[in-house]
Amino acid sequence: MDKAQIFSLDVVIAIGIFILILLSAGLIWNYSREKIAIEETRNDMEIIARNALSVLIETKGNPNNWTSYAFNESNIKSLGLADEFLEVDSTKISSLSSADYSTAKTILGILGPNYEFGLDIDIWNGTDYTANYTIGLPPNATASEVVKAERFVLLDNSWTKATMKLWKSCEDATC
Amino acid sequence: MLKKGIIFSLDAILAVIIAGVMILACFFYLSHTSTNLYQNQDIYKISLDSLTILEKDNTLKTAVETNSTTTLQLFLDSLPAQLCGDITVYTSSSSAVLSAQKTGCTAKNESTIAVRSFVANNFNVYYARMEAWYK
Repeated sequence: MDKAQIFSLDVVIAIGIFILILLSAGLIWNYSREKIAIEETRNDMEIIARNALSVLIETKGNPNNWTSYAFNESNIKSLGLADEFLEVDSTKISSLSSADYSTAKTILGILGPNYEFGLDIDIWNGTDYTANYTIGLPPNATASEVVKAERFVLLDNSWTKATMKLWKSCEDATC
Repeated sequence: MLKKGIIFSLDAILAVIIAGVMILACFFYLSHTSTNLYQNQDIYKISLDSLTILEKDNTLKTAVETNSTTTLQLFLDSLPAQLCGDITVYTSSSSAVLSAQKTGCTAKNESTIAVRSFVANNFNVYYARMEAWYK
């Protein structure tokens, strides 16, 4: 009696191709999951940076004279550097500059995991924008994501560039 | 003697090709998704900010009254390096009276336009229009 081969060569090839397709699908799944996670984080940071900068340069803050109060979350509901729309006030900038960083971050709504911010106020000197105020923390060498939002304002009737840098500090020792 | 053969029919070949094409299409699509969702919003806001501060510090008013684009040109040239823009000032009857463009900017990519009205020359209304685009 002849013996039959249950596991023929064509079945082996078919299983090989099937495994190849399955592995490719798994690879795509993993790649797209990582890409979506990175883009979601970046989108979140873009929105937070733009909102924080808009609130700072377009509003007076709540209360308007927040510089007269002790700098904490119960006294200050919202931070604003403006006297009028896009006209920022040097006293308010100085107050924010000397304020507690963590409290400022919380009031500005920068609450994401390991999110840090740096705000640069550069004034036009006739030939270039020169740094006048640096508030918060500038991105360090281990920052994994950096988002920048730039707007133009008036400070003491001079053209001024306000740049908000929102960055994510490194979460583990591998990055 | 018994000869061995492999059955690999046309429909199986087609199935493998389609699966391969779909996998490649997935990779291609995923690697080409846009990450610059806010670029147009950014240049629109910069344009609007520019017109607002130029109106508030009376640069637009002075430019119309002295018929000079020197300060407008200076402002445009101070814009970030990757950004291009031009400013045109119109009368209320839509005739252009002043125009300036950032130096070194010629070809226009996808652009945004912001418009702001202001008053000059004995309460006459003018419109400043700023078009901005990335280099």
